[in-house]
Amino acid sequence: MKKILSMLLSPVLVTSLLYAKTMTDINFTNVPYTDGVNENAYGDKIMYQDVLINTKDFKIDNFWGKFSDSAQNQSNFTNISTAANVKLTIENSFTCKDGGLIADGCSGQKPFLINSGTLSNPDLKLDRLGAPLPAGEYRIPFDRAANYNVAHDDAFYALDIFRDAEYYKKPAAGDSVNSAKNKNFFAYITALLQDYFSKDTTIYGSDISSPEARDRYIANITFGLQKEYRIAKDDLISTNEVNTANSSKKISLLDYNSQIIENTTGCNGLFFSYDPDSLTCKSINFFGLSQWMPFINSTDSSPELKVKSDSVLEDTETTLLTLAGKLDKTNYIDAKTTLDPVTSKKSFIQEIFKPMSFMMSSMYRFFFGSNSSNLTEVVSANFDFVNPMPLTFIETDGIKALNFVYFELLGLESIYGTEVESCRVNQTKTFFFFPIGWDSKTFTKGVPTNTAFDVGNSYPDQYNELNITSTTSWFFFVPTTSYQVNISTDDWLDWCKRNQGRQTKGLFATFIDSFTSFIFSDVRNATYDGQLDTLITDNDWFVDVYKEKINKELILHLKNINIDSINLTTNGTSTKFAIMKTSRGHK
Amino acid sequence: MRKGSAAIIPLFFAIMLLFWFIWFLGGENDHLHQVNQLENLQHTQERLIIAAMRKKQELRDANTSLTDTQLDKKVNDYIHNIMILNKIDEE
Repeated sequence: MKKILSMLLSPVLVTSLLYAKTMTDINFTNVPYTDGVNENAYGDKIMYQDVLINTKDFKIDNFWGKFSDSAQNQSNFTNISTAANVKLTIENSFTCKDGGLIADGCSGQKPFLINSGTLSNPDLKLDRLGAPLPAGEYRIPFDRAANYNVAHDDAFYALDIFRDAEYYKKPAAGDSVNSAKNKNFFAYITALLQDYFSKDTTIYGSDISSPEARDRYIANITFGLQKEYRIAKDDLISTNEVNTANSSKKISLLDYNSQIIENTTGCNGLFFSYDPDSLTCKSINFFGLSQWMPFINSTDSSPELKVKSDSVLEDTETTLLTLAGKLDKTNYIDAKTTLDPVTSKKSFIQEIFKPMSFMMSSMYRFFFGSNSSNLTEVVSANFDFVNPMPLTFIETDGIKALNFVYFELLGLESIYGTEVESCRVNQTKTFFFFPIGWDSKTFTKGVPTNTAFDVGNSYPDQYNELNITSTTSWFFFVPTTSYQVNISTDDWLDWCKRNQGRQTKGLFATFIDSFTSFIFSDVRNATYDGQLDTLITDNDWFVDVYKEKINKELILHLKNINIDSINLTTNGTSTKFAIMKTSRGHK
Repeated sequence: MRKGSAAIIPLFFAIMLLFWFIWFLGGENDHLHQVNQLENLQHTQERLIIAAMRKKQELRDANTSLTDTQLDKKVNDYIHNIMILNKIDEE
């Protein structure tokens, strides 16, 4: 009976033993934690996590057991586990995993430098209208290395680290796919942009030759500094020289500037425009025909338009826009080049023709330096990012790397500002509608002049806002007082700025203007500008050549974050894992 | 009984010893096999720890809306699949 029972039960027992399925579970025992030191010398966040991996009902088939009663066909282990303590190194590198670079190429450090006092500068904590930003937020402009000064706490700068010319992954022998890839880093970035975005994306400045320093800089900015030359705390940084030599491997500031200048001259009509080199255009200007052809504008008096832009600045902007766009899955580059959908020209220069959006109350040294203090109008293109990308800046005292500062890139502002250079004015002297001669004056910014207009012998009430002087002369023993209105260089330049380029006003605005002046012709102007306009226009002066320089500036809108708030879920970080210790257990 | 039949005894022992030796070797072999399998398993487990953490990070990067529990579930499935391929886990 007992034997029968055991014969019946044993298959059940064996089955239940054999058919408990083997199953492996992984268990992240805790959330990643910091343990004492939470930052390594390179500014990466260090965290730890405990992991337990457990295999249940692990079975091993025994061959010899079949021949013996005491052994079993199969051994069953209920729990076989390995526990490990894993070290997490969280780097602020975003594209490292993308695979364009050799493995040694990637580190989390972006080559940006700020002075140690920058974060306490109150001017950088204001938004573009001058109102204070939320706590921890900054707007920091980019500046050229040539302007670097330990005492200037108002900008960030580009650093240069030598990269051994390794900007891309070297193809293995016989690797036809990678051999066909671009070796030049700029070409690589172009391909990257076009892969992510559209094929018709034009990259600013792609036609200019690509110097080694430039490739290196874009590689540094995209993938972080090359690992061998990462900057640790207390590393020396040379800020009083600019790295130009390829053979020099020291860390210094970067200042290559292949200047980008765009000229716009052309016979722009209201409905069509001519090639400025065409005979038609030239003859229109030469014969002064534009005076009589209302739909074609003379280019003679229109300012030559230039955008001066440092290519380091352009590269920084393009690269940051690309990375942020990749993180947000949005094409910011395209948005940048096609800001003005009306114009068919796909160039950012078209922005300049857009209405001036605001007056800057304060700007930075890049614009308001000692020799460029008269920036007047600013156009700006703003990009606000959905997923802020982390950026690590290096804080310096001009000698060595003091610390690492962590930011989230909230947005980016492209700013165009104009700066007056000079103005040439002409006066046509007429005698009963017949031109009998002309006069010409040139005013250059920074060269003081005084032009005195004689306005008669009675006090000129209509010019009471302007600078009036009087001279008394004795004429046949009768004192005669005559009054002069004095116009300075700055007044002339202001007037030029207001009155140049009238052809860009548009037909409608011109019509409104003439209508207004017809109705209210004799209303006295109470403002300084209005009186100045009246005075100069009444004396038949007009703008001949007005020159101004257009500068471009880049401002990063950043939020300062503590290293404690960087973790595995932070956007744009990449994490490296290393097992610190393991322990095994089994039953 | 025939004379000298006691001589079979050492022979008998020798045969017994041989059988015992075969039995012993077989047992030892099973034991070594078992140790080996366990070692292998634990090595595999150790190697999978980093892979699992990487996988979790990749999943998190790919879809930020997933909760930690959902991520853990996906990572568990991933590890289970690898173990099936390694002929350790059963489907």
